[in-house]
Amino acid sequence: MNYELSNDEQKQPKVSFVPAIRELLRYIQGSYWKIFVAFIFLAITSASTIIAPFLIGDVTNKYIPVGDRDNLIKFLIILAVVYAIGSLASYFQIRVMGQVGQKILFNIRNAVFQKLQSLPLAFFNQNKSGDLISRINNDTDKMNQAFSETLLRFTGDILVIFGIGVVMIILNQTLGLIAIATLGLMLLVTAALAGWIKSRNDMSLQRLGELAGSIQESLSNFKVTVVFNRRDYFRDSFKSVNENNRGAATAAGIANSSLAPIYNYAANLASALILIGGIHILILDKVYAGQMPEFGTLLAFILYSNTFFGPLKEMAELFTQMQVAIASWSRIFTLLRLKTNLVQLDIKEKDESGDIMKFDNVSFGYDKENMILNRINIELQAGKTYALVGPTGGGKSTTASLMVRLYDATEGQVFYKGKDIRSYSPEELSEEIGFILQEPFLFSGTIAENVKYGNTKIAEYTDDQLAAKLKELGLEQLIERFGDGLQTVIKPGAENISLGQRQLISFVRVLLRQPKLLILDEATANIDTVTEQLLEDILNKLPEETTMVIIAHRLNTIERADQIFFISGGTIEKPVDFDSALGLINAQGKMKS
Amino acid sequence: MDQKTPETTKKQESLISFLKNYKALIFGVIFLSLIVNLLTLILPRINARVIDSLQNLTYNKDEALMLFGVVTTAILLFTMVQNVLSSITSEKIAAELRRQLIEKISRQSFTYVNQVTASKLLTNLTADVDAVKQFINQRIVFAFAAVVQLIGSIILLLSINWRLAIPVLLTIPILGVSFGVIFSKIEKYFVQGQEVIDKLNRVINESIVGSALVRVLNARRFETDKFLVANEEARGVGTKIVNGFAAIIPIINVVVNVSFLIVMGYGGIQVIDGTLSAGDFSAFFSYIFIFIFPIVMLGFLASGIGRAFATYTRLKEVIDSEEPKEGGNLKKEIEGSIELRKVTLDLENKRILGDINFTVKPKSRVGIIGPTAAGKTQIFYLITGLIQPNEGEILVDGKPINDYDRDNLYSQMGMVFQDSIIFNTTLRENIAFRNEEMSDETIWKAIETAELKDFVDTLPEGLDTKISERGSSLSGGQKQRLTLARALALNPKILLLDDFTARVDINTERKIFANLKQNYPEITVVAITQKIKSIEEFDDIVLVMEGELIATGKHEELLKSSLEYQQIYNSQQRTED
Repeated sequence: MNYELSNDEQKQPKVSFVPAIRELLRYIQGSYWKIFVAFIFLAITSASTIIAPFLIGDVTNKYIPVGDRDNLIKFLIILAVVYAIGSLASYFQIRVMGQVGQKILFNIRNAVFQKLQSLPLAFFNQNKSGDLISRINNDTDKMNQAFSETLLRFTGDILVIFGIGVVMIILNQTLGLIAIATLGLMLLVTAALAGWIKSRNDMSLQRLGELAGSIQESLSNFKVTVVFNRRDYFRDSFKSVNENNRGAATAAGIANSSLAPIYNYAANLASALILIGGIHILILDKVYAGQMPEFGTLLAFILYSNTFFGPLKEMAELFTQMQVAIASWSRIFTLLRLKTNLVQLDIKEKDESGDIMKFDNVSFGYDKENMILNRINIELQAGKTYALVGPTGGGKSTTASLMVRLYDATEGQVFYKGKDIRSYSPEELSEEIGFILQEPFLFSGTIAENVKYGNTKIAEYTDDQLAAKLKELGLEQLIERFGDGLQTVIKPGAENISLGQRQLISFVRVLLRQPKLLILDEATANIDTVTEQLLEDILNKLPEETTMVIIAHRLNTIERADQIFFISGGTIEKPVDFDSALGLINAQGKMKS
Repeated sequence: MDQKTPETTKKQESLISFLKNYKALIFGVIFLSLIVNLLTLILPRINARVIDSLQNLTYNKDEALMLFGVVTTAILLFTMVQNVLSSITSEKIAAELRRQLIEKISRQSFTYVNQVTASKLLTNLTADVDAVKQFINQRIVFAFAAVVQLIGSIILLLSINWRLAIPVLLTIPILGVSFGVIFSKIEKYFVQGQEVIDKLNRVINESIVGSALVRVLNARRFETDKFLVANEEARGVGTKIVNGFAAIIPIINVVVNVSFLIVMGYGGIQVIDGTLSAGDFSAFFSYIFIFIFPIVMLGFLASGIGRAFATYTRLKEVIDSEEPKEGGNLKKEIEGSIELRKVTLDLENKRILGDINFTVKPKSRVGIIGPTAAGKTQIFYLITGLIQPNEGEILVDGKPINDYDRDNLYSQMGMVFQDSIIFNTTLRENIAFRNEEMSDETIWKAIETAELKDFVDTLPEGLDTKISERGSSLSGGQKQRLTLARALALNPKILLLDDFTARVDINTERKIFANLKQNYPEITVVAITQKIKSIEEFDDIVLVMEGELIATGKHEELLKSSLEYQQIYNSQQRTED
């Protein structure tokens, strides 16, 4: 059950180029045809780039020395046509590849999001939310840059380099080989530096995540830093992450700018060698041998050097961008590789007791040393009300979480309606079991959107239909308390309404689902007792077969329970009646003092 | 995001004046870039000279190689130094910007942070700072390099052969105009794109923070649908941007090619006529590469400069935001009396509290009770000075709280918030939060009073146990008691509790209040609560409903005098034996 996207480098699984690309290819499926079209356009563009200098060289060789103006003009027209075709093709090629890139990015974002949705709660408990958010936002953005730019230019450059390489060798072997050798040398340099560049980027991204995590924490704890007058704590805790980030980012910046000057140097030097080599081979040697000097071919080589090394210089930059993208991709990839352990299993084992829910020797813990629940047994009968009481930290919320399968038991079995809870689909469980969480969460939007949230049956309801439904269930008076009723706006973080009001909305949200088993985990802790009484009346009017599990500290809320479970230290006791339960609670108090 | 406001020049000045602090570094980078660019411009001239030296029969292979070697090596070295310096400079500036932002935020009021919202400040500190950094690291140097290269290559082209240069240079306006048109369009999409990405991020963020709810309600489909809409939009805008860029590159190609045709045709004729040397003919081709590139760069840069300035303005708003004048100079040891005098509070044009008056005597215990959304927490925030009333005054020991030196006041007030805020550090640091030098004795006294001793004793590492961000290792009640211990460790004169008992069971609560009386006999307690039981024995009870003070008095008095109090009492009485 380890979902930790560790920041520790040693624990981070190594993601190398090939498997990362192979995984990427999965997101390209469906775009093959478009890529094929783009490649045809790319081939046409590259051909025109390759042919043009050849034509220029040819003209210079044949017509300029002899002063043939007519043929010069004729060739200019041919050249213009070649250029026109090339430009048009490049337009379409970029357009089509751009669409493909956006589609791939779309697919990746979807995959990441779907993966997040498929992972269990434990994943979110084990990772810092600030870091997680930063990871997803920053890294998909880096991928975005890679896809909207790099991919396009990279493929084009490769074709041009390859084509020109071939033509240069055909035109003159020695000069062509100088160019190819430079290319080979550059590939070696790149290979040598690639690991360093990627590791600097890995580190920088990690530090950025830490920075975001630290800021997120400081801001959400702001009021405590104010009243404890520890504004300096805010600044100091930031200081070190800011410095760490600066160091890592500077190193990454230097690494990322290391390739370009080297490529540039090689390109400049090779151009010079080709020029001087060309002078000797194409001009001086020919003159000595009494032949026509091939000045045009030399010109063609000068042009080719530009078109050959231009893309090569660009590739240095693109390659660095790709290292950044790969570093990002490997972080996304690590996330995508995680698998949920909460899968639907085919478990034949049955519970014949007729209980709606049964815990059979259930134990639970995040790790073996710290078990939270130890071999507990619970039987819940349909239509009855149960209360879970006990000291804080005793395991009440954990028990409730197991009932809705937020986690799986470490040992033992949980049965719902006679079948192992793991054999139900999430849809089946959520349709029948309602759970009001201790910490209410509201989405930004309106109250109407929030109470309809996730409920497929009423998702399409208009406000009038929704109001009618609320009335039917006796919930309308809870919504009337808000100024604008169902249309009351909830801001991000729900800062504009009180904690008690958030709990009210969560309450309405779950009751609208009309669950068969309703679990309230201190769901009314911050609601006043008068309103709470109103809620209780609503609960009393629920259909008789509704089973209820209530976790609360206030004794009046659990008074009417058919049975009380006393959970403490991970074990469970079942007092026979309310008074003996009170006795247990009081005894617990005395034991401690 | 629209930078075409009349204030544009002012914005630019502000970023530039910020950068003035880094004059030396930035000029260093620009100077190096100048050298690199001039050397780059020389290369085609050397090419031309070598070719022409053939015709003049002055060709010398070794001299040519030497020249090339020296110039290219110089370019390599200067570029590398420039890159390192540029990275150091831009990261230094980014870190400084972040430091300034945090410095300011840390001095801001609670109200300010709430209004601006934490998520926006997080964007300011990460994405926005990054954008300014990129601007410095790449754009300033590139823009400068582009201008140098453009002007340099124009001069060189004109000096080599002005007749050939003029038609070639005429292509520049064509490029300029078409870039202007396309970039203004793309710019619009960039703004749209940012909005879409913000939306996408909001969906992702909420699905992470609300992950427990999403799972309980099995609302993954719902989340995915919301996400798909945003993602589809992002893809749409992204495609539009790519299409815009698709138009740019062929335009560049056309201009380069037309220039080639001109050089080839007109230049070729000049070579035939003998008015242009072969070396210069080839140099012309090279300069076309050199001068087209800066034009392209400038096009891209122009589109980004406006955004960088707009971003910096957003950051500047935070950095220049007015610091609240919190508190005065009054320093004294307080006795612990609190008075609210005619206090009125409006939030977002809504009346939250109206005309609240009550007094808390020193060393007494006062409970504030009332239904959900009655304004209880707002009263708490007012007493702590986290927010300011619209009318009226809050007095401590008869003096307005704004007269007190904040540090002095806060060192004597212990506050326990409704949402248990835990820091991602050790138990000890969480409790001894205000003063890290606190003695173990003080810490343990607070822990024992908060009924946390049994728990701490079970921890192998005791006080030095690390607590994770969400305190997932602690239960709700343990977190609440930990924040109580933090407040008590101040040895405060006044203890303010907001709904402290919500997640603590009744027995523990009773014991805590008993411990409090025993260990901190001098303390004034103000407790906001839902449970009458918790405050029954308090010296005074204040009943608040819908922002209004309904009644004050002792428990027995209120039972007789206040219908509302009776109603609350009755609703809680059924469990009494």
